[in-house]
Amino acid sequence: MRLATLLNLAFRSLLNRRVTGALTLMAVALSVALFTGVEKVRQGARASFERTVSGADLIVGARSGPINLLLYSIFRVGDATANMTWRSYEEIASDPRVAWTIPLSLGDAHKGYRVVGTDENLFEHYRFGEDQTLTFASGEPFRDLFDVVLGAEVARNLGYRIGDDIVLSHGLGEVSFADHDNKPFKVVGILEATGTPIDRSLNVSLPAIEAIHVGWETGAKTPLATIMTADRVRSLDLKPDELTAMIVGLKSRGTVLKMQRDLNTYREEPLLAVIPGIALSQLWETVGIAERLLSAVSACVIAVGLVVILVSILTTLNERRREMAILRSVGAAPGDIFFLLVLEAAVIAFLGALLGLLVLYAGLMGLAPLIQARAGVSLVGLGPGVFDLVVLVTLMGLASFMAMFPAWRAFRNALADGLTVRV
Amino acid sequence: MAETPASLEWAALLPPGEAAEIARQQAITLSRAAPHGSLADDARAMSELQFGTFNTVRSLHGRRVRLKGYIVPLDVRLTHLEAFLLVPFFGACLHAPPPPPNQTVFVRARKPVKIDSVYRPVESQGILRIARQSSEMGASAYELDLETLKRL
Repeated sequence: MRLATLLNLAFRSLLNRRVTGALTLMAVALSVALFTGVEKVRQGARASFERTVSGADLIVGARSGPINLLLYSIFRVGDATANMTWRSYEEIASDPRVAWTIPLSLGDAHKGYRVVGTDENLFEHYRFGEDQTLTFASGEPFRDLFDVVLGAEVARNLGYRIGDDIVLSHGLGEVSFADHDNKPFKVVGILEATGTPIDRSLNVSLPAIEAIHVGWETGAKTPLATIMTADRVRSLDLKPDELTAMIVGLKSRGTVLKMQRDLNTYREEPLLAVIPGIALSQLWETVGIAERLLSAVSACVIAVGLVVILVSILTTLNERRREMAILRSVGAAPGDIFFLLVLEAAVIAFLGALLGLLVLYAGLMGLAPLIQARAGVSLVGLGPGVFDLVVLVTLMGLASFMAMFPAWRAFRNALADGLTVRV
Repeated sequence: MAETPASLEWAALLPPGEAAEIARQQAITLSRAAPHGSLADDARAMSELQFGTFNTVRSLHGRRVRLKGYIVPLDVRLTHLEAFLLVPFFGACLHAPPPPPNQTVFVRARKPVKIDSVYRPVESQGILRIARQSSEMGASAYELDLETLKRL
């Protein structure tokens, strides 16, 4: 029989058993969605991390751990344990091997979004993605002491515009019981979206961080903080004496190993210098075990889906012996019967996988903004890809292969039964 | 016609007499007390402690070679790496002094490569060159235009 006829028969047969067919389809769809979803999220998260910063040769901070330092300085996740001195910053910045530096001072927040104390070097030297620089959607970098530049998402989610006044909170919590409320900041710039944690940050000048912490030296707000109003504080010497971390760009990338070694053995202060690529690789190594476990589990779920297809064909085999006899009477060869069953399995697998992928895309499109808002990870590359196609084709192949067992039994039955069937 | 690659040992990157030179430097340094000063002072003193020189083996320039080592990525884009350093041992950026310039290769990948882990050794094949810039600040003495990268 021609393939087109067999295909038609396969569809009709499935339609005939539409309830069980639908359930089988759903099982397959769910398993494919899970398996492909796990892989997509994994790749998406990695791609997202990788486009967060580019061109940074070293990251330096107080001595902690490489992954910690990378996470809190670049990805704005987690916290520093200590600060480094401004004196060390100046020494490193003036080292002849260093081309540029970006100082970072962390520790404050606004409605859960992190505040970063930095200087014009951030706007000049920070690169992300494919070597892109930070650009302004509106406004300009901070100039006055109490100017603030917002990341794209902060401005959008909180509805801020140029000229608005905002109050920063002490500490990183979303709700703070300790505000720097007598020193409001004015929004002077809003950055274009970058797809990096910069979108979720507020940028102020380093002296501003000093200014808002006048009177907070004990760790809590003292009356001094209230007495020293915004105007009074301007007259103080607000040169920073410490910072949390710094990003370093070298004149020659090949010097990175030596520079890192010099910083890690610096006798004046316990510092940690990391090569971002190495630290990131360490992070993936740590996370990799959990990832592999998850992949293994979702692969087992695919196996379950395949078994469901097999069971659905096997269980109806006996009842369909008369159906097969009728087919034989209209000209189907025993070989056609075999092929028909294999085709049915392939069709279920195909439709199930397709449904699963569509559900996955819809789900990811809905979830991606949520994941971005909660975890700061903007999943990249969530659309259809080669991996999806491979999964689809492989599933069809496996289903067809597994269906050969019941198909062979049906073939044998067809031979034995002839045109009369005693069920 | 492509030239057959020569599999190199790291020692092959050292010119003759280098071993003797290193022994000489070690003898001098062991007799010096550790310095204590600013970053610049320390760095200068440490340079002297970084045994080895920019001396290279001239005959290797332009040869197609195979070299095994560990990767120090020079970018965060581990799935799309365009440049990295190839060093003889893992942990070149950890507690021990980094390898000397003539035991470090700056690898350029015109077709970006994907690396799974910096903990696994690789074999790089490509055209080896003597690096054009030679600074006193601890860069690499050799460069490699990468053709293939094999995980070991």
